[in-house]
Order: sequence, then structure tokens, then C-alpha cells
Amino acid sequence: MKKSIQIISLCSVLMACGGGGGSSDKDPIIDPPVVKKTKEQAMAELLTSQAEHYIIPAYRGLLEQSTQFEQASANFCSLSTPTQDDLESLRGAWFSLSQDWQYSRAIKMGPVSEEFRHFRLQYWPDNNNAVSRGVASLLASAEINQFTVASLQDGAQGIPALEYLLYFENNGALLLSGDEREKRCLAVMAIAANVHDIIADVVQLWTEGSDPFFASFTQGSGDYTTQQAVLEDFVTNWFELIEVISDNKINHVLGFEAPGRINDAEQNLSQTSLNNIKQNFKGIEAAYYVGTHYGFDNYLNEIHEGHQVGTKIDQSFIDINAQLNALNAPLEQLVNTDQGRAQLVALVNTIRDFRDLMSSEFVQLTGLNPNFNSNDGD
Amino acid sequence: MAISMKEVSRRQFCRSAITLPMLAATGLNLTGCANLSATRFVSGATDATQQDYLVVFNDSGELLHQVALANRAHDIVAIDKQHVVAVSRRPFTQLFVVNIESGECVKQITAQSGFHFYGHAAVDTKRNQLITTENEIVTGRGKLVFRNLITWLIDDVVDSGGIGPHQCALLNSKDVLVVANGGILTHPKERRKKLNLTTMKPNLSYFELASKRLIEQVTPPHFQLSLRHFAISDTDQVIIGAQYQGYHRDTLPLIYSHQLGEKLQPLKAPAEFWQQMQHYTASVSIDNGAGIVGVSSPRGGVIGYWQLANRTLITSQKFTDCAGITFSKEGFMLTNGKGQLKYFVANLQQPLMAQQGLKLRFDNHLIAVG
Repeated sequence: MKKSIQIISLCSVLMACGGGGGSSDKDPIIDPPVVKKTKEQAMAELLTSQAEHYIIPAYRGLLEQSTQFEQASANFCSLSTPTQDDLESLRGAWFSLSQDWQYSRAIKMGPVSEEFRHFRLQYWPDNNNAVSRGVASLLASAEINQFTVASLQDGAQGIPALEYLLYFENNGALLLSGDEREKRCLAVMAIAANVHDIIADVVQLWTEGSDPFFASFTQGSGDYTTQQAVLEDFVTNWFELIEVISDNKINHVLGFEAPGRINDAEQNLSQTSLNNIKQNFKGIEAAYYVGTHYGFDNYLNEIHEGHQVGTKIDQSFIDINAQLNALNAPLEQLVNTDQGRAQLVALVNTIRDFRDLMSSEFVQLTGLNPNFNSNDGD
Repeated sequence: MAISMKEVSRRQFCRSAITLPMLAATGLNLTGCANLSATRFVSGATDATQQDYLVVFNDSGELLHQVALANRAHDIVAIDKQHVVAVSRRPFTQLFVVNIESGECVKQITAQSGFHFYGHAAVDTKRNQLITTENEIVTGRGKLVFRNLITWLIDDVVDSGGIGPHQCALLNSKDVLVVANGGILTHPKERRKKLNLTTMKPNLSYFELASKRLIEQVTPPHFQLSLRHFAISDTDQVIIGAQYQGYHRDTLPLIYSHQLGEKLQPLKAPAEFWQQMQHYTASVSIDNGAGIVGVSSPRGGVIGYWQLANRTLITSQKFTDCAGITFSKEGFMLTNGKGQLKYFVANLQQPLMAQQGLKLRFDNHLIAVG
């Protein structure tokens, strides 16, 4: 998107400058000197741009979706005889919330990474059935409210617990009728309120108070020693997410053969795991380009003259998006067909190529070194 | 090699100067002093193009050699003052014998078919053999593989006492090999996926070298505390670091002390410090003179130092993406994943040398030779 806007503005400049011809009595037009930013100025602009135009809007959008889901759950639970359509409407609100969370996944730093907020919002991978056990504990509690939720283990607290209640156990039918309905409705509302509170805390810690994380992030202060350290932390989280997508979200689910490990897919109950991956890449792309604002692409070109690398990264995003858009069934179904599996294997390879491009040429050119030893497991 | 009087004077000056407690406060940069020792530091490293190396540098942080390797190396062991062996990380299958004087890779050994290395080895000088920890892929069982240091042929293969054997080293006073079995099952086809997190059984095993018999095995207090890296003191106190694979909110000690025949005991630190380490320790090294052990935690970006005698945390340093730590004759050298080095001599507050500019990412281990 940013590219096309740049081309349009360049075209309009050319037309204004050279379109008429013939007139020789005007002063020759001299291009103003190009003032390049210093590396420090560019880093400062990049970080401010990230915070103002990707991170904080992403969190504010997520907060808004959590408010809407809270409202939707209250509306649903106030119905005396809810229908399947009512349940679908509630599921739609949950899906929007989940999608906005996935869009923000590239920001695993600052407030969201403190006090286990990330785990509380989404406990995944769930290797020990923490979500089902957590929901069972909540339903067995004497009082079901947001404070009970906040006191339980992380599996009970977030978006997967909501998915479990909306989709599992007779496909969510227990929310429509029966003796359990009221208790389950209370659980949905309580988790919704807890999710809202966590996200509200994240937004507040980024933007408000005497020492908002916005300041540390943009200035390279607080726990950071330099702005470069902030960018390196940011890039490390990208890389980690890209690996999680290729290894955990796709490759692990593929397994060695059909039908794959469907139960390990991120949102297998709602069959929305593929949507999550699409949102993750939307988030990574937003973090890279920052819309029309100063992004990593600008930084790469202005400070490091990395047009060739930039073009390769542009192409990688195009390729990944094209492959993602060509997947016309849920991940949980694709892993069970030969064609689907072949498409997913190709996608994993493209994502790994992208990861290699970023961790080699991008890193080499920018000198932004992601953390190297934190996740190697040796 | 003859040393001139001028050099001796400088060396004497430097050695006396760095013992002054006030030096740290002055902030003086004594790089001239730091360059005196003949100690060379050796580590695995990778550059931004993903080329892997064995690198040799001195205590001024000057890169002496950068030897290209076919894959990423993890730990290094010295065979003598001139030669080291770089051991591939899992799931790679190469050992690289490098002459650190000339900077040449003089030999490359491939693991036997169906095996891969775990990144660690020990040298048994008494029997002139190299002992590596390896994975027998088809069974997933950990193995100790004994190779003759002259012929490089395999003499023997025995069970390591567990799954996922990692660091191994010899005790000083007994003819005994210590092995940390991390307990985590992996398979090359599953990349770095951990396949048995709910059933893992890590342990610290002791083998009598003459018979290759398992003589003692201790287990950590939690079955998901993967014991991986350790250092052995002059008195054979084994200080071992763990990587915790359990619930992310748990707070457990990550470092333990063990002496053959005794109980495993945790090192002491406030809960906040263990939380800062984020369930992950990497490299362990001991200063026997001062009775201090240093342990790096790359995830936490922190290095902790404990007094060996009472197992008490004495200080810590922040160092982003920290990796290797080793004690040379004079101080603790630290590396990180961003090409930085720090050398702490005589005090742990102010590095005598800090090198920022190496375009390398150091791997998790580092040794001092010479």
C-alpha cells in the first residue's frame, strides 16, 4: 500500500514539474538537496512511528474488540431463550477479538510480556490441557466472576478459554439451554471482563502515567540502554513469531502424514487457526511498513541504501500473502488432504525463506542483531 | 620467548594495579594491560550471513583467528595448548579439530551413521581419548562415545544413563566422568521440537572411567528441570545449571551444587532473581581462587555469581543475550549474541575490557586456553 502511494506522489511531482514544456522564460527548477537523516534520527523516527501508528492503534483496536465482546456476552446471556443465530453472533464477536489479538502478536515486549499477561490472554500451545482444566475449575467455583478468573491458572483466563466455552462440549450447546447455561454464561462474562482488564492494563501502561512504556520504547530508556536495543528486541520478537508460525502453527500440525495433529492446531475447536496465521502476517507486515509512515522499509533505504534487500522483502510478503490467500479451507481440513498438505509445506518453505532473508541480509545490512542464544534450547 | 624488562615492568604494574579496589571507581580503560596474557579464548560463533566459525581472540578482544566451519559449533574442548575440538550442536554430525595457533581446521570427524552430537565433549588425557555425548537416533538413547585421540577411531560406546546427554567433564581427583543427561528427547526430523516434556527424566550421572560403569546418579527436585551445563571446582564440586520445561509461572532454583556421594543442593537466590533468569541457564564457570561460580542466562540477559562455600548469590550483571562465560587465569570473560565481549578482572562491577564491535554472534560456550 505504501509503495503505490509513493508511486502516485512521485508521478504527481513529475507531472507538475515537467508536464508543460516549451516555456523557457522561467527559472530552471533545482531539486532541493536531499537531507538524509542520521542513523540515530532514523531510529528515533522509526520507533515513534511504530508506537504511534502500529502498536498503540493495534492495542486500542484490541481493547475496543474486548469491550464489544464483553457487551455481546452480556447481551447473549440476558436472552431467556437464545437461538443458534444468537450464539453465532457471540462467536463472531469472539472471532473479532481473537483476530485483533493475533494482529498484535508481533509486539511481545513491554507491558504484554510482564506479569504473565501474554500467557493470560492466550495460553498456547496447551500441552497439559490447562485450558479445559482451568475452565472446569472456574465452573466448579462457588462464585464465578472476573476476580475468580484472575485468581485461576492462566489456561482459564483468556481467549482459548472463551473458545472452549463457545465451541466445545456439544458444540457450545450448553450455552443455549439446560441446567448449566447460567453458570456457563457467567463464566463467559467473567473471562470477557478479565480479558478486557488485561488489555486495558496493557494500553494504560503503554500510554499513561509518569513513566509510560511509550517513552522507554521510543527513547531507548528504562530497561533498554539504546534505541538500537529496542529495535533489536522488536526484531527478535518478529523472528520468534515467524518461527512459531512455521514450526508450531503449521509444521507441527502437519505431522508426518494425514490427518496430521489437528487437535494441536491453535484454534482447532473453532477451526480458525489459519485466520490467526493470516492476522499474524498482517501484523508483521504492518510492523515492517507502518502503513504510509516511517517503517523498516524506509529505514533500510534511507540509512543503508538497501533497495535490493527491500525489494526481496516486499516480494516475500507478496508471496506469503498469495499462498495464504490461496488456502481455501480451514487449516484443520487442509492437513487432511494431499493438496492441502502440499500447499502448507510450500507455505512453510516460503516462510522459512523469509525468515532466512530477514535473519541474514536484513540483519547484515541494518546491523540490528536479534537475540541469538535465547531460544536455541542448548 | 624472551620477555623484555619493559614488558615485565608493565606486566607487574598491571597485575598490581588491577588488584586495587579503587580501580573500578576510576573508570580507567587499561586496555594496554589487558593485552599481556597469552591466554586465548575460543568460542563457536556465527556471522550475519549464517556462516559458522570457531573464533580465537585474546584478552584485549582482538580476533586472532576466525575459522569457517561447516555447521554451528556449541562447546569447545582443548586437546592441548595448540589444538581444540569444536563440537557440533544437535542435530549436526561433525567434530572439528582446529589448530588455534595457525587458525587451521586440521581434521573433521563425522559421527557414526545413525548418531548425532549434542555439542559437548571431554578429553581423558590419561587414556588419550575424546568422549562425546551423542544421540542414537533410532532409539533416542543417550550415548557416550569414546574416540582415540590419535586415530580418531571409536573405541567404545556406552549408555549415558539417560536421554539427551549434554555437557560432560572429568573430576579432578578421581578417574570419573560426569555427564548431565538433560532428559529431553529430540529427533532430527522434528527439528528442535521436544518430544517427551511430560515424561522426561533428567539426571547427573557419574561414570568410573576405567570400567565405564555408572557409579552414581542424582535427579533434580523436579522432573522437568533439564540439567545441561556444569563446571567442576578444584575440589570436585559440580555446579550445574538447569533449563526448566514446566509451567511458566513456576519459580524454582535453576542452579545446583553436587559432590559425589552427597545430595544435590540448590544455590540460593531471591525468587525474583530466578524469575529474571526465565527458566534458562547456559554457561557455567568457576574461579577457584576466589571460590566464585558465574552462570549466564541468555533469556534473562543476566549473569549471576555465587560464593561456592555457602552457595549464596553475591552479585549479578546485566548483559543482553549473554552467552559464554569462562574464567581464565585472571578473570571472567563473557560473550554475547551481539558480538560483544566483557572481561572482568579483580572485580565484577567494571570490566577491564569491553569490546563492542565484532560482527559475530557468539554461541553459548567459551573456553580459555593457555
